[in-house]
Amino acid sequence: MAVPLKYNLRSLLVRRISTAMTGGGIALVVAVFVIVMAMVAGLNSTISDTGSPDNMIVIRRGATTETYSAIQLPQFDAMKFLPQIKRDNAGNPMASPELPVQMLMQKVGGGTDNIVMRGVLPVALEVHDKVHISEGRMFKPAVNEVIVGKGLVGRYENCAIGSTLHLGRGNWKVVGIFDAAGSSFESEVWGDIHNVQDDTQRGAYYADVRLKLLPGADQAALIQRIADDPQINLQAESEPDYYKDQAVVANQMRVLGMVVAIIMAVGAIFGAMNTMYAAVSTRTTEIGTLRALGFSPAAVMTSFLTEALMLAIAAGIVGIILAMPINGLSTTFGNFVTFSTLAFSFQVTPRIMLEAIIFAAVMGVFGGWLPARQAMRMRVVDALRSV
Amino acid sequence: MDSKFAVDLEHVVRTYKRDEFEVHALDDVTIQVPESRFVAIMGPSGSGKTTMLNLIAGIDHPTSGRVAVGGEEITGMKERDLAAWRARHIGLVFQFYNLIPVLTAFENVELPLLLTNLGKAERREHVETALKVVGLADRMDHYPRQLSGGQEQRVAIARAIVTDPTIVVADEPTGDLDAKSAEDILGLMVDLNQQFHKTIVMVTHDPRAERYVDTVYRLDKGVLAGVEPGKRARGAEAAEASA
Repeated sequence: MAVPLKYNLRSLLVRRISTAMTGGGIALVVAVFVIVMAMVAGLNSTISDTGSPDNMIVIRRGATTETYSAIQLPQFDAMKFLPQIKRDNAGNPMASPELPVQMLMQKVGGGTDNIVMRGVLPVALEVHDKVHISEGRMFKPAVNEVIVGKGLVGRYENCAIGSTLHLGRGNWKVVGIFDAAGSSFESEVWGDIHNVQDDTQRGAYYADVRLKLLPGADQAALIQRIADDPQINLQAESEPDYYKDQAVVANQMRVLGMVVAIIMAVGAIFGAMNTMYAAVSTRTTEIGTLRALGFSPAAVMTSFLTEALMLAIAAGIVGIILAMPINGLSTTFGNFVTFSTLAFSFQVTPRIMLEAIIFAAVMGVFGGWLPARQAMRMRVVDALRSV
Repeated sequence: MDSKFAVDLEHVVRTYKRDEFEVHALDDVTIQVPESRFVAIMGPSGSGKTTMLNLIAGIDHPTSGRVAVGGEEITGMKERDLAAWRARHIGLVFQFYNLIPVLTAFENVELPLLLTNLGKAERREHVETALKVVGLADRMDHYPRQLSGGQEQRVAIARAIVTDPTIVVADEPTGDLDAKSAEDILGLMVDLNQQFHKTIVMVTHDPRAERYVDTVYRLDKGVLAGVEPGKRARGAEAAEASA
């Protein structure tokens, strides 16, 4: 049978200061871990949630993002009536040609950021079904009007309805604010595609085309047709797949965050190890007594390992609590895949909390293992002699 | 080995290595302690008393020779088996009580019972009985720091007897106590021996202890120097003769 848990719990409480110092170290590491993972989760969610499963993005063959893509008008005309594409009530194909370009935008409080200005047609609101005008109205074609993603409002100058935004070479009147279910579209400004073409002097081409597919449409056949048809000769993939690839930035942040957290964790493990070695050293007689009473070497090792785990898990919970204020906090991030700024919210998910507790527990096990093994290996006679 | 002995040591040798030197803590010691006796192992410092007690308690191994307790030979047992054996057969009393400071008197006495199959209610009953026997039923929720030295040693004795072990071994149980408390503890051990027929093997420097025990085994430089009846036994013999 195991040594009672209250023995470990009370021993931790008796050594309040060393317990607090070690626990504090672990808690800080866990807090950093949670913050980094919450940022990664927020970025990932913002980027990945941008796509709709029944939407397809079409770009130039070989292009990795819409930024590096170009589609000519005849190519668009050749694809928009393909049978897999959904039609609206008027029978028009739900195919949205788009031209995202980077524009410098004035930040509130000074400085500028690269922001995506997306040239679209009104059909874009039907194709991107997560996008809704939350205030004001849709821009009118052929005039310099724009709608602004709600992620930009409050962060950048002149985003209120009725204001005039200076973007590129022109001035644009803000006539609406839109939300997009937390996706990266909320960090964009949308205007009429022809005006954007004129302003950026890009000529009559689009960067990409978004297609809304019929329910149950054969996506593989459509991708094949778009690639093989000599009049089209483009590359198509589902939006979720496309944005999954774009989320590489989040994955890189995750790796970076893990490296930082692991380096910090090594320090915390040494702290925990030091505390547990001290615990074993000051309780040598108790260890000898427990062993003499009949507790097995394994029970004694388990007891000290459990003590390290209790400390680490409690510290892990404190670390999560310390990091919780970050949950839901909005900020911006320079996405080096699209060269534009992305607004996102930190997301402390239950999964991150569980991972943080496991992370803390791993620190506890590593920190407690050697001292616990030392306790297990003590000869009873030697331990009792240490009075 | 004869099972009628509570303790049976045959030609026991215990040698320690201290750097390049060999220390002969026990050298060819043979003793037999019959059941239900209260015996003392006495001798000067370094005579091997505690070494002998550790061998009897199964917390040390002889270099050679054989050790049997309660008719069971423990010489070749592995550490894990020895731990289980100690839990069943040995009650330990230490000079400095060795109570766990973060556990109450009740919880300290309950510790050895956690190694048995007893349920919580049965454990409580056993602990309360043991603490009542040592006269500390009203101190069961006290932590060791809230007890006097004599009371701590009583709790340690309660912990030693709570599992009803084959044998109680006590290492200098009065060594850290004042004269009054020491007499009380020795009196308590006599009670345990007489009322509950516990075999008690006690290592002591305390000359007063001779008055309380049946037999005194004298060790000197690791060798058994003599076996003599304790004053209690002599008193009993004298009483028998006069009757």
